[in-house]
Amino acid sequence: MKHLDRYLFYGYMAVVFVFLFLPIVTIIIFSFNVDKFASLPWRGFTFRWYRNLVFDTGILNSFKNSLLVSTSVAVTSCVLGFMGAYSLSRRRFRFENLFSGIMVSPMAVPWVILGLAMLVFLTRINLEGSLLSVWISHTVFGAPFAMMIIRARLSGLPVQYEEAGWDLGASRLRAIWHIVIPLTLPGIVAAFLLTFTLSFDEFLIAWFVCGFQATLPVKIWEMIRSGLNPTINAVGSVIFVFSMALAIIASLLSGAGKRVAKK
Amino acid sequence: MTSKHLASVLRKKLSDQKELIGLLPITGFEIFFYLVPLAFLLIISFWMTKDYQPVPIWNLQNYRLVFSDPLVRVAFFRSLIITLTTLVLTVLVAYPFAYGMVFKVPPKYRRLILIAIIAPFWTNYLVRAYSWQLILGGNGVINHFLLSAGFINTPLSILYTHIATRIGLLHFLVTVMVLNLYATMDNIDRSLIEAASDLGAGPFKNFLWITFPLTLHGLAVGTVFVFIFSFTDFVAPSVLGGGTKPVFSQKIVDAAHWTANYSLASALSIAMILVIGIFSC
Repeated sequence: MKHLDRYLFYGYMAVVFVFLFLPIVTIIIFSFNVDKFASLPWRGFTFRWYRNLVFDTGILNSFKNSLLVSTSVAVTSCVLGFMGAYSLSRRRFRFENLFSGIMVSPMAVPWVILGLAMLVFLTRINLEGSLLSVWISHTVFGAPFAMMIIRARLSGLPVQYEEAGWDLGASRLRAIWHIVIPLTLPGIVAAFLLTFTLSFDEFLIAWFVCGFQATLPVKIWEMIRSGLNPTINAVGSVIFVFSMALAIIASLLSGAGKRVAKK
Repeated sequence: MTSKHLASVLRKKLSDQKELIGLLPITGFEIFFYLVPLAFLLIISFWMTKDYQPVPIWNLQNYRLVFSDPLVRVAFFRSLIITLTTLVLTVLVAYPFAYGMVFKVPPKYRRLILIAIIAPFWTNYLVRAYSWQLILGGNGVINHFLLSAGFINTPLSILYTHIATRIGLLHFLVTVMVLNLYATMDNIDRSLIEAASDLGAGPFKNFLWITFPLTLHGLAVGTVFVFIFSFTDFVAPSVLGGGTKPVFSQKIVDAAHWTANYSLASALSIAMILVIGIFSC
């Protein structure tokens, strides 16, 4: 009786977990269902939809596109983000808070509006309708995001390490390359993985600006739009498993980093 | 001070100004590809569209349409209602969960639960919304069980109504709210709670007068995010809500994609931003 409240909470949390994981489990299970329509009772087990997925050039192309764009976005975001984070953490200047606020705001702007703005603007300067447009648009919120993550990690790194390097004769840049970056690496890798995932999963803005070069989410949207297609279940399941794996790795990396910094 | 140390300190002081160079690339990029497009959007909301191009004829017609068109108004209020109900639902679902995580679960399992919560959060939002179709559809998981257990005679139509939209939104927002509340609750000074217990407060009073008020600030921050997300989301209403009862974000996409009336779309967007701004204050 003493711990009844505790068990009540545990029960509730379990229910919430079921709610959270229900769609993920459902789509994975259905991706093996022989039945064309998403329905029960279970008709049989098959790999057919996964085989479809592998031989569908439309899906494969969009997957290739997504991979290309997301990697580029992650790289650009981390480079821009690291440079910004380094400057921000090493130097105080007057409008720092306002600057940080503006830099972070792309993530708060509704993506419908961002997509529309990018579409109109990029069309004006003739950069619209390609993967390049997607790359640019995703970096708009990817770079500040990376900057935030790396900055959190950098602020735990005492300046003394760099100063030691300077004392030993290293130039500013060498000190950064050989001291700061290796020590900040978990943060950079986490920022890379998270920006990659964010860009890879992003649908709305990519849909606005990609023209005919569809990324994977855009392709999935088209498939959903064109009616029930069980191959979506296969695609979705693959995406789910990979995203969750990436997210878990990134969580472990940034979590482990915090423990080290505290010591 | 050795001369070497002095030299390096001097070098550091000289390069202090150069330190800010690191900010230039990202600032330049954001200004050109973020601030300028947004400003441009504001500008063309006052222009007109001819032949699928925004043309600099200054006028207020777009805004007149935004405020007077009955379809727009209906979509606006629909978005608002969905947003507010989703907000209440999210708080009701997330709060006990976060509370349990901070106050009831032993600390060593907390990180595990955190990771377990975050994992589905980073999956593709579009695919997640789609997978709710499998569960809520006429032949889906829920209907199948209800029918075979004899609770109902005809399938419930949950899919393609805005109940489904709310479920889809809730699924994403619960995680956000839980994380936010977790951070807030974790920072509460436990000694305050102990002090109240020492003074004779039971667990309910403790919660009502100590814990809950201390979470209000974090709750407010989370609420703003939930509001903004629900009001502006396009995916959940489109995939789960069906096309028959359009929502404000869908109106923007309609104007932009199907009629290429970019000026109207941007006027709608500005209106959306205003609404969000008003709510945030």
